[in-house]
Amino acid sequence: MKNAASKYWRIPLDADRVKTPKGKIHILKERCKGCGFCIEYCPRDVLEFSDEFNEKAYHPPRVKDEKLCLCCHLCELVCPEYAIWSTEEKDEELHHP
Amino acid sequence: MDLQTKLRQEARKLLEEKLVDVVIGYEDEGAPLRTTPCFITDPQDVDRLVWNPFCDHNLARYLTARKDKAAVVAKGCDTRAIVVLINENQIERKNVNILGMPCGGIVDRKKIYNHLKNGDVREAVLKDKVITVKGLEFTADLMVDDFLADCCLSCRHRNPVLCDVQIGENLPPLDVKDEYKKIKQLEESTSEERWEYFRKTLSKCIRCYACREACPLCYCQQCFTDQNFPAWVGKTTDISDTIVFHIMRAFHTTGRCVDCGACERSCPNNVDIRMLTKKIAKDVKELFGDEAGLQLEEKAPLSFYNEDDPQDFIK
Amino acid sequence: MAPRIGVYVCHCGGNISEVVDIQKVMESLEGPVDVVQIKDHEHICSEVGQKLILNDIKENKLDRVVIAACSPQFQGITFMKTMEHAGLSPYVLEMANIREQCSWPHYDYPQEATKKAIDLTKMSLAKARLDIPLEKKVIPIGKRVLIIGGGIAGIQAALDLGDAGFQVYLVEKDPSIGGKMAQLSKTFPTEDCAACILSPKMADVPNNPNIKLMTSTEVKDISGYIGNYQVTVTRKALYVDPDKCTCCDKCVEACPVTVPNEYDEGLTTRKAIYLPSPIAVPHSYILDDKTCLGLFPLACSKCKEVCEPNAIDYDVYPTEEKFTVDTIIVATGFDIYDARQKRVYGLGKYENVFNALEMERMLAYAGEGKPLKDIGNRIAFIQCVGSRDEQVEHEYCSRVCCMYATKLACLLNRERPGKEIYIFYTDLRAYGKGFEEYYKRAQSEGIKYIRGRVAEILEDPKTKKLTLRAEDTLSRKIIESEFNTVVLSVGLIPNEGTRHVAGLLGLSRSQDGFLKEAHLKFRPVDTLIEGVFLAGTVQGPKDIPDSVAQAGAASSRAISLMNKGVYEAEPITAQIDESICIGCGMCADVCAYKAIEITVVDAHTGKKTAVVNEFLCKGCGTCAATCRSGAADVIGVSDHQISKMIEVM
Repeated sequence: MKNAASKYWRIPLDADRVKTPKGKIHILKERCKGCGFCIEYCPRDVLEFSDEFNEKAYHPPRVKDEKLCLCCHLCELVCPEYAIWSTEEKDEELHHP
Repeated sequence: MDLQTKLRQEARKLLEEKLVDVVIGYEDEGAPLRTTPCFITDPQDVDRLVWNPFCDHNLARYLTARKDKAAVVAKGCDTRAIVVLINENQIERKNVNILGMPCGGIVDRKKIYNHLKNGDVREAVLKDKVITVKGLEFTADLMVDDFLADCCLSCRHRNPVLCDVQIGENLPPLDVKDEYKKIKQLEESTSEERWEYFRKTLSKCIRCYACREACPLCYCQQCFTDQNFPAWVGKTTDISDTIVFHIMRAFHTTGRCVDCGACERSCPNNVDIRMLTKKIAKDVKELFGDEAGLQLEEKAPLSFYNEDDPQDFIK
Repeated sequence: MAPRIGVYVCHCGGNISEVVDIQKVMESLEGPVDVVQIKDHEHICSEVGQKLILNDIKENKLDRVVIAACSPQFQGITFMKTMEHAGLSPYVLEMANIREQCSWPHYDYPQEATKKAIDLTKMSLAKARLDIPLEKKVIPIGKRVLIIGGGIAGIQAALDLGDAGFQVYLVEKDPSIGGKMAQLSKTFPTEDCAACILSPKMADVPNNPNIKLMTSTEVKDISGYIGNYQVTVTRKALYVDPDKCTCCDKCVEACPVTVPNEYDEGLTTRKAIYLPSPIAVPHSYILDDKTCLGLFPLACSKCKEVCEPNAIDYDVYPTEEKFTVDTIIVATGFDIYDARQKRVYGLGKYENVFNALEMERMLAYAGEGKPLKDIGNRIAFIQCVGSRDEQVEHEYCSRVCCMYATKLACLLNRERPGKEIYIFYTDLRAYGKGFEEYYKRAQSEGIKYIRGRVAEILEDPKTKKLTLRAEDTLSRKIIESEFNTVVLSVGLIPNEGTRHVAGLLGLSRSQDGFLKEAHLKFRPVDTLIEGVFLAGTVQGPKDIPDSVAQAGAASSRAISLMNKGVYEAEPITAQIDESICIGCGMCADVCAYKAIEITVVDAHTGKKTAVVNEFLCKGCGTCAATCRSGAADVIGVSDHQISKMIEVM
C-alpha cells in the first residue's frame, strides 16, 4: 500500500480477499556491475544495495522485502548485465498487499 | 591584497570586458572624512575608486531610472536596498552588477565633529582603523570604531545579501546586544514625553529634503510633499507641517526601509529620522516577521494578506 | 464654465426638520454663484419631489444636483433614476445624509445637529462641483457559463442552464461527476436511495447537447470579467479511451497494484486501473498514473496486454484547454472534517471507530447483501464532531449531521433486528420539512437519543470493543457503556478546491471559511464579483434539497444576467496618473480583483506604469490608499474631491 494517500489510514476491509501477483526475485550476484538501475527503477522499492562485494568488487542488489514485489519484470528489462529477473509464484496462498 | 585594490581590479575587468557601461563607486576628492560618489566609464579611471569607512552614501540611489548596465559598489545595507528596488520594478536584475562589500561599519562624521567640539577639520588620514585628524590648532588620533554610525552599531547584515562579485571574505555577524535600545526607551515613556521628543527633534527640520534625496527608496516621480492638487501637506517649516512630512515619509518606508541610515547622515540639522523608520521596521518585524530586502520576489508585508492574519486589532 | 447646482433640503416629514433647522441650512448655502437654486421639500423622494427636481433641471439648466436628505444607501437609486430621466448623468448627483448621520443620532442636540447638517451639505456641494458626468460602461454578454464542480449542485445548475439553451462548461476534478451525494446510501428524511435518484440526473448531463462535460479536469486560471472570463483548465491524462472501453473488467484483473478506493472512503481496494464508481459518469475505466507501477518508463503494461478493444494508450499527456465564458457558477462543495484531529474519539487508532461517510459506504454494501464487516449490535453515534466546536475553530452547525445520523441509525436498525443504537447529541436540530417527523419515527423504532457529549472512547485491545464515557445531561448520570462500533457524525468543512477557486476569482470567504455571498438575505447566491454565483455547500453546509434549490437560484440569476445581452458596469473605477506613476507595483499587489497590471506604456523609454482594467475594477480604492505618490485615484471619489470636502468643513 505504498502510494496510499494519508487520508486513508485503514487497511481496506476487503484486503484479505484481494489477490495480487507474488514475485520471486533472482539475482546473479557475480554478473552485477553495481549500476543500481534495478534499485532506482523498481516501482515498489523492493531492492537495495547489499553490503557484500561480488568478485568484481561491486555491491550487488539485495531484496529488501519480497512481499512488495508484484513481478512487473522492470528490473530484468533495465538490467544491462541480465543479472536479475523475477518469476511469478503460482501458489494459491492469498497474498496480502 | 586589500579590498580597495581588489575592487579596482574587479571594476577594471568589468569595464574592459564591456560587461557594464559604468561603475558607480566612491572617490576621494580631498575633503576630509568624506568620499564622493563617482561614475567611472573608462577602465583607466578605476584607480579613482576608493574603499574606506567614509564610503557612507547608499549608491543604490543612483540605480533607478538608468537604462545602461551599471556595476555598483554596495555594502550589506545597500544590497538590501537594491533587492527592494528590484522587487519594486525599479531596477532590472540583469542591468545591475553588484560589487558586494562586506562592511564593518562606516564613520558618522557628525560624531567626530561633536567630539572635536566642532573644531574645523582640515585634514584626515586613515591608517589601520586610526584616523588622524588635523585642524588649524589641533591634531587628534581617533579610533574608527568609536565613531561608527548608529545604524552600523546595530547592523545585522554586514555582508551583501545579493551580489555578483563579492570583494573580500564575509565578516562574522556583529554581536548586537540591544538593537532597539533607544526605541524601547521611547516606547516606555509617556505619550507626553514622546510628543515632546518628536516635537523637539522634528522642529529642527528645515524641509531641505536631503533625507528624501539620500534615500534609495524615495524614488517617486513626484513626492507627495511636492503635490498641490490635492496638497497633502503644507510646505512651511511649521512643526505641524514638518511632522506630517516626516510621519508620512516614514510610513512610506514601512516594510521597505533597510536602515542604511542615509537619511539621518544626510540631515544637516541632526533630526533623528531613524527613530521613526527604525520603530516602524521593528513593528513590521514583530507583526509580520518580515525584514525588508532580504529576498528577491518577496512581497512587501503591507501588500498582501493571508487568510489567517490576526484580526484582533479590529475592534 | 461654472457649474449650475441645484440644492434640495428634505424635511423627511419631520424626521429631519424636527431636529435640524432647515431654514438655517438653506441660508448657509447662499452666496456662491454656481448655486443656482436652493429649495426645501417635505418629502423630496415622493413623486412630487422628483417631478420638482426634473422641472428645475430643465428650466434652470441645472447640471449638478445636491440632495440633503437620507442615506444614499436608502434612496440613492431613486434619485439616480430621476437624474437619468432628466437626461443627466446619475453621477453628478450628491447626497448629504442629514438623517441617519445627523438628525437621528443627534436628536437631543438640535443646534449642533443644524451645524453638522450645514457641514454635511456644504461638503456634498464641494464634491458636486468637481463631479464628472460619468456614463455606465456597457459590456456585451453572451450565453456561456462555466460551472466549477460536478456534485449535485453543479449537476443541477448545468441541467437548468443547458435546458434553457445556454452553453455550459461543467468542470469536475474527479473522474466522475456525482460528488459526495453519489457516495451516500440513502437520503433523509424520505430514505430514497441516493444513487437511484442521482444517477438519472448524472446520466442526463452528457446527453444534454448544451453541456460540455469535462471530468478529471481542474481550473488552472481564470482572468477577465463578466462577459469575458478567460478560463484555462488542465485535463488530466486518462489513458483509457472512453469510446473504445467496453468495461469488460479484464484490465482490473490483470492490474497488480491495489490501493484504497476513494469512492469507498478507503474501506475497499481498487486497482490502479479502475472504474471510479458503479454509477460513474462518464462510464469508463481510467488509469491512475499516480499509483500505476509506472509509465515513464513503462513498468508493467499488463492492462494493455489484455485489453481487447485496444482502448489503453500510455502515450497521452495532460492537456490545457482555454475557453471564454460570460458567467461562472462555483459549486465546489465541501469536505468532511478529519475526525482524526479529535484524538479522544480514536479515529485512525481504533479499528471500530468510523466516520459517517465510511458508515454510508458500509451500509451501501450491506444493502447489496455483501457486508464488508460485522459491525456488531451495539452502535453509538457521536454528534457534532468538528461542528459547534470552538476547540477546532468550527463554531458553526453543519446542519446535516443530526438527520444523517438519524437516517444511518434507522437503516442500521432495520438491516438486522436486535440492534441497540444510541445517538449522543448536543442539541438535536430537526428544522427541515419532514425532519421532526423522521426524528419521532426513529425514536419510535427504538433509536435512543442521549443528550451529552462523549468525553472519551477507550478500546479493549483484545476484543476491540469500545467503551464510551459520557454524561447524560438530562438525567445527570455518567454513562459508561461498551459498544461494538462507534460512528462519528463529522461536520462539513470548506475544501481545498474551494480555496483554490476563491483565490483565482478573488472571492471573499466568511469566517467559517465557506465562500461569502453578496448579501445573506437578499443576494444569497451572488458574490461580490459580478457574474460569479455560488451553488450548494460551497457557500455553507446544507442538505441536498437546499443545494438543489440554490443551484436553481444560481442558474436563474445567471440567466437573468445573460439574457439581457449587455451588462451595465459601474463607472466609478480607479485611474492611474501615468505622469506620476513609477510602476512600483504596490497597487497591483494589493488589488483584490486583480484589476491592475504593471505594463510598459512607452516602448521608447521603457517606462512602466500601472494600468487598470476598468471592467475588473470595483472602485474600492485600496490602490489609491496604497499609492505612495498619489498616482492612483478613484474617478468620482477623487482625492481632490475629498480634500475639497474637508476644506469646507
